[in-house]
Amino acid sequence: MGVVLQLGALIPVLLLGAVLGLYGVLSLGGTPTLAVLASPLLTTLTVVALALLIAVPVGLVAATYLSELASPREQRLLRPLLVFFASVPGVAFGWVALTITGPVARTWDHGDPLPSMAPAVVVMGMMLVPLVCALAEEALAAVPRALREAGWALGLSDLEVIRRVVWPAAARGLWAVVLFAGARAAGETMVVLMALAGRRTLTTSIVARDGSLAHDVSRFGVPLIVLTSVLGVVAHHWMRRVRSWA
Amino acid sequence: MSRRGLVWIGRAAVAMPLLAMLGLVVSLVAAVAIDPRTGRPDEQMPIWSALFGSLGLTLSAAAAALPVGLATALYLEAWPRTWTARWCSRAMVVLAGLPPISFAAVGALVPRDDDGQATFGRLWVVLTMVTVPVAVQAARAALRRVPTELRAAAQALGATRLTTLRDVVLPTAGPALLAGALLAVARAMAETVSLLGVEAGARGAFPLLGPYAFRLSTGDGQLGAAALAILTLIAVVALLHFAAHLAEAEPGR
Repeated sequence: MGVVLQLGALIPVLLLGAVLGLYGVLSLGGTPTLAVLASPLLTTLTVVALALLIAVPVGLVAATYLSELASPREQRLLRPLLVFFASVPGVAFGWVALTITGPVARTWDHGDPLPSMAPAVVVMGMMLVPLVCALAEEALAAVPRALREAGWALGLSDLEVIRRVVWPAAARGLWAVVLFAGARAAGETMVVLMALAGRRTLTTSIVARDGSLAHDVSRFGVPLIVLTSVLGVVAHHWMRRVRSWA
Repeated sequence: MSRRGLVWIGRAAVAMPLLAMLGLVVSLVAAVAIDPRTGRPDEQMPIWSALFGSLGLTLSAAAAALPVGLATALYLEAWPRTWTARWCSRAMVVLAGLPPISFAAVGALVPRDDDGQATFGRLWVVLTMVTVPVAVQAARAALRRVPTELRAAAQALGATRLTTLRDVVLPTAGPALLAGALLAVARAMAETVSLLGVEAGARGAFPLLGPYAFRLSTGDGQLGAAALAILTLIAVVALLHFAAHLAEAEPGR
């Protein structure tokens, strides 16, 4: 049975090898120049940064409330709800961006880049809030209770304990959450495909408007994989250190 | 600031995603009700075909991915320091961060034919690849919840690693494993973009809720019918999450 389990454990390794090998072979036909890559990469980073500006503050405050202040009953009710919200399909948010935020943004758009990105940014930001909240709560919960008790014993208020003890102690984990959310946003395709007309990100350079794959999928697929993998690996490393406290 | 003030600020922050979801559902329902073309969707692919197509594809992909996820998690639990376990853990870190669209290119390697079966094969390969990392993570999280004291007690009584896994860890982690499996299926059900990348352009399109909603929204402009498909998809995902929540709930709590 140990051999069976070991063979099963090799499957993710083979899977990753298959994906990376495929893109490696496809990229033998040539890699994109910086000039070609610059525009989609810049649009991707801009959309990700603006979406995180919305998602991270709201998600962090919500996570702090759930971790530090919410009653057990509220925690039991809200945690599964937020996990569910994080699982809502991207096509639903893309539909909202297409039908609601898109027409609103078009009334402001006079050719400026930011209003044209607004539908995708706003929707993606709201889509990331539950993810940020769930991960940040895990990072905050890993802070030893003894640190909080020490702060209360020294006469600090709840806000001071949060601001001066909990958040600094969980800082590495919270930055890991930002990176996880950034990787998720960079890899998001549905919302940007349905909402970001006229602008291309790395993901929408891989798929056409009808959703089919581009012929040279590795051209932008390899930079996308590198970007999301680096963010994910660094975030995982930081989060593992935070989890070691628990 | 008083604790009361902090609580209200926190509640306002938590309310934002709740209100966003409520707004999403209300706008979808309104679109279904308002659009006069709802009820006359694409004749070739009624929503029921898309629903059963999605369920069939998801369950068949989960049937392959979940055992792999459980086997991988059990191996990592029992032998965490072997060469295989170290490389598997590293592979999992990278796989978990890959965007789903990157798996669609692998599906393109499966030979294409004009009938629906070859397309199903491609879709099954891609969805299984997307679901394997999710299944592994869910199984690992479930196994980690088993107290180490139970394992230590079993091994102190002379149980081998496999015996500990089979007689102590698996039964204790059973409800959490079931919940994790349901969440993995929900994740697979919600997957759209990688399947769209495989399916779009094929002559014999396999009925799937997510790509169906996408085509109705962007190509045909049938926003009401698209909203109905999205609502159906959200309802199925919500049911799976509710079932996972029930599976994890301890009796008497």
